Amino acid sequence: MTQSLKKLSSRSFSRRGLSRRGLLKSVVSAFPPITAFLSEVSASFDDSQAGCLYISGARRAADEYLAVVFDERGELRARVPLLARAHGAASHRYTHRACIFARRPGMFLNTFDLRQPSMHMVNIPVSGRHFYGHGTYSENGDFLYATENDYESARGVLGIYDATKDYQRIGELDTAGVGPHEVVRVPGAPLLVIANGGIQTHPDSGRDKLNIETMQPSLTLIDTRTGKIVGRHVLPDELHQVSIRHLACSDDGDVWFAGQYEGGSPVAPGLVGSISVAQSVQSFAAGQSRKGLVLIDLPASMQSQASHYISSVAVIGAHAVFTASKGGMTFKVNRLTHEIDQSYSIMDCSGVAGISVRAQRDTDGVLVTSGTGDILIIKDDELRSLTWHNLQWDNHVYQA
Amino acid sequence: MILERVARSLHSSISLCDYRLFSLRMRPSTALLKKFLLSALLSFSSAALFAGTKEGPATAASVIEHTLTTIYQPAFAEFAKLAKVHDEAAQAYCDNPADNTFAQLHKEFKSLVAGFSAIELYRIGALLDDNRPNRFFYWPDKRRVVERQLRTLLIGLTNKTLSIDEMSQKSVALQGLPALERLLFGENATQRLISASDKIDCQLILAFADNMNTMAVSVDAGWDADTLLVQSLLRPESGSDYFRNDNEVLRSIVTQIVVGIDIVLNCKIAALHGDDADIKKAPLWRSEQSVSMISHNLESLRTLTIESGLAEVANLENELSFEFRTAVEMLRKLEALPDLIDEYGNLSTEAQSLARALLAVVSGIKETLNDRFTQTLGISAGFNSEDGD
Repeated sequence: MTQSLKKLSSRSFSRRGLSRRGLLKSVVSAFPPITAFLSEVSASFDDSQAGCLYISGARRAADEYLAVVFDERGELRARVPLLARAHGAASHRYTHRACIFARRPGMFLNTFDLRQPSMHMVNIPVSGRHFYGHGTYSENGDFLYATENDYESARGVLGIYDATKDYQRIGELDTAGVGPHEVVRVPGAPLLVIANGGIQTHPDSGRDKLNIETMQPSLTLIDTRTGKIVGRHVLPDELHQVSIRHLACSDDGDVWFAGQYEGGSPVAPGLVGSISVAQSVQSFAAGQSRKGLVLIDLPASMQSQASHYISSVAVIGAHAVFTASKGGMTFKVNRLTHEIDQSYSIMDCSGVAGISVRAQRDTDGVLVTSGTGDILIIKDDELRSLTWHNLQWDNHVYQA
Repeated sequence: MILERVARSLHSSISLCDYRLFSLRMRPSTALLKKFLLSALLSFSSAALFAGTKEGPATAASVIEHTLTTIYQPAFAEFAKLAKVHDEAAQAYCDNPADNTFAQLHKEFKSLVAGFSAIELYRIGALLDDNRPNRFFYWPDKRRVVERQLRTLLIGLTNKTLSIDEMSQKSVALQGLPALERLLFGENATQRLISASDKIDCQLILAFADNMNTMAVSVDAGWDADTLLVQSLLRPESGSDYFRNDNEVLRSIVTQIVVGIDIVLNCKIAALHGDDADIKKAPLWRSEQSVSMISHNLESLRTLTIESGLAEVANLENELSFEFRTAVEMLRKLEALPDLIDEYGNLSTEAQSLARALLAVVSGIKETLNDRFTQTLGISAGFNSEDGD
C-alpha cells in the first residue's frame, strides 16, 4: 500500500495542475504514509451483514468530512476521515471492496475493505485527470471504473483500476462525452452505462461550468470486454441543457437517470427518464439513436418545487425513486406505468437506496438520507424516521 | 441533542454565488418533526426558549405573526407598489420621450431596485414559484447571457409589439432588472432613448416593465390573508404543503437570514473586495445601484433578525443591532463617495478600503448568526439543498 501511494503521489502533474498538486501533496503529507486510521466506531463485520450495510459521505463539522458505514438500523459501524468533501461511493458485495470518491473536481479516492474500514488507502488521480465523484466495480469486483475528466482535452474518460493490486490505474476508456458523472454496471452483463453530464469544467476554474450554452449530455454504454461503445443516446436538442448526472440500473436492465437543468427556461422537461439497455444496444447496432429512451414528464409544479434539480436515483423493486434536495422532495416513479406513485417532503434529502437483506433483494423499502443528519425509511408507502446522527449526510448513499 | 444538531449545521456555508436556485422550502417529514418535537419537549428547544422570554414576543407564534404582518407583507406590498409606479413611468416616458420623463423613469428604476433588494432575500412563498428569483434578477451573469439574449431579441423584434404573455415565455435572463438596466443605462442609452428614434427600445422597456409589474403583483398576492401560505404561517398544521408547526416556520426565517448574509457577503460584497475587485462584477453597476442594493439587502436581513424579535429571543439584540448599525455606517460612507472607481476604471483606494471594512463587519454578523444566533434558537439550515452536485 505504501508503495502504491508513493508511486501515485510522485507522479508528475501537468503544468496547469501544479498548484493543486502542491496543495494536495501538503494535505496528503499530513496523513500517515499508509493512511491507516483507527476509525472511531467498532469496525468488524461478518459476511452475514453484507447487504445490510450502507456507505455515504458526510460532514461532521466545518471542513471535517467522513466516509461513514452504517447498518440497517442506522447504527454507525465506521467513520473514515477524508481529505475533503466526498460524493459517490461503490462497493462489491462478495469481495467486500469499497471506495468513496472526492467530489468534483475530485483529487482523491479512498479505498478500503468493508470488513476493516479503518485500514484504508488514499489514491490520487494521475496527471491531467481528476475524479468526477462516481465509480463502480466490475462484476467480479477485481476492477474499479471511475468517471474522470481529461481536462486539457475536455474529454470524459473512465479510469480503470486493478483492485487486486492496490488499485493501480491500468488504463482508461473514452466515454464519448464531456463531464461523465455517474457510471453503473448492468447486473449480469459486461456492460457499463455512463451519464455524460455534458458540462465542461477545469480544475483551474474550480466548479465553474464552462459550456452551458453548448453542452450536449448523453448516455453511453460500453462493453467492458472490448472497451467499445455499444450504445449511445444523445438527448434531443431542446433538452441539451439537461445535464444527465445520476443513474441506477435495475436487475432487468432498465437504467433510470436523473438530471439537472442548466438553462434559463422556467419549464424543464426531461429531468428524469430511463433507457432499456437491450433496446439501446440493438438500436445502436442498427445506427439508430434514442430508441428505448423514455423521458418522464414531471408535472410543472414538481419541476418548480424541485428547482429543476434531481439529486439522486435508486431502483428499488417496482419503482425508480428520486430525491430532489433543493425542493426537499422524494418521489417514486412506477417503472412499468411511468406514473408518479408517491411523493414525500423531506428536508434536504439527497441519498437514496433500497432496504434489503441478502435473501430479500426485491423489497420495496426505501432508505433516504438528509443533510439534516436524518436517516429515514419509506415502507408500505409510509415515511418514518429511522434515526438521526450528528452528521450531515452527503449527496449519495449506497447499499454495500 | 438539538444543540449538537444545531452546532453541527451552523457551519453550513454557501460557497456558490448561484444562489438563485436556492429553495428554502422547509418541509421536513412528519416523522422527522415528531422526533424534533419530541426532543423539543424533552430537552432544550426553541419552543421552550420562546416560552421563557419575559419581554417582547413571548411565543413562537407571536414572533411569526409579527414577522408576517410587519415585515413580509409590507415589504412585498411595497415592492408591488414600486413596480406599478415604475411601469407607469415607463408608459409616461414612451408616451412622451423627453429629458424629464426619462429622468423620472431612471428614478423609478432605482426605487424598484431598492424595493426588490428589500425582498430579494426573503426566500419564501410565491417569490420562489415559477423560477421567479431568476426572472426578477438574473445575476451573477458571468457568461453575459443577458447581453447576448437582449441583442438577439432586439435584432428579431423589428416593429412587432411584445406582449406580456410573449415576454413571460422569454428566457428568464430577459425578464428582470439586469435586462431592463441594460436598456435604460447601457452605453448611449440616454442619447438613444431620449431621441426616441428607435421605437423598438420603447416596446422592450414597456414589455419588461409590464412583466416586472405583473410578477410583482403575483408575488404580493401570494401574501394575501386568505392564501394557503399565510394560513399555514399563522396556523401550521400537519398535512400542510407549507408548514406543519411553528418550528418549521422559524427554521425557514432563520435560514433566510443565514443564507442571506452569506449571499451578501460572498457574492455581492466580494465583488468589491480583494485583488480581483471589479465594479463590473458587482450587481447593477451600470445604474450605480450596487451599493444601494447591498444596503437594502442588509436592511432586510437586519429587519428579519432584529425587528422580528428573534434576536431578542436569542439574547443577541444589542450585539447584532450594533453590528448591523456598523455595517450600515460603512455602506453610507460608500454611497457617499462621489465615485467608486478612479480615472482608470478601477475601484478607488477609498472604496476598496471601505469595502474591506464592510466585509469584516458583515463577516462578524455572519459569525454571530452562525455561532450563537441559530444555536441559541435551536434551528439549523440545509446542506445538500445549498450545494449539491
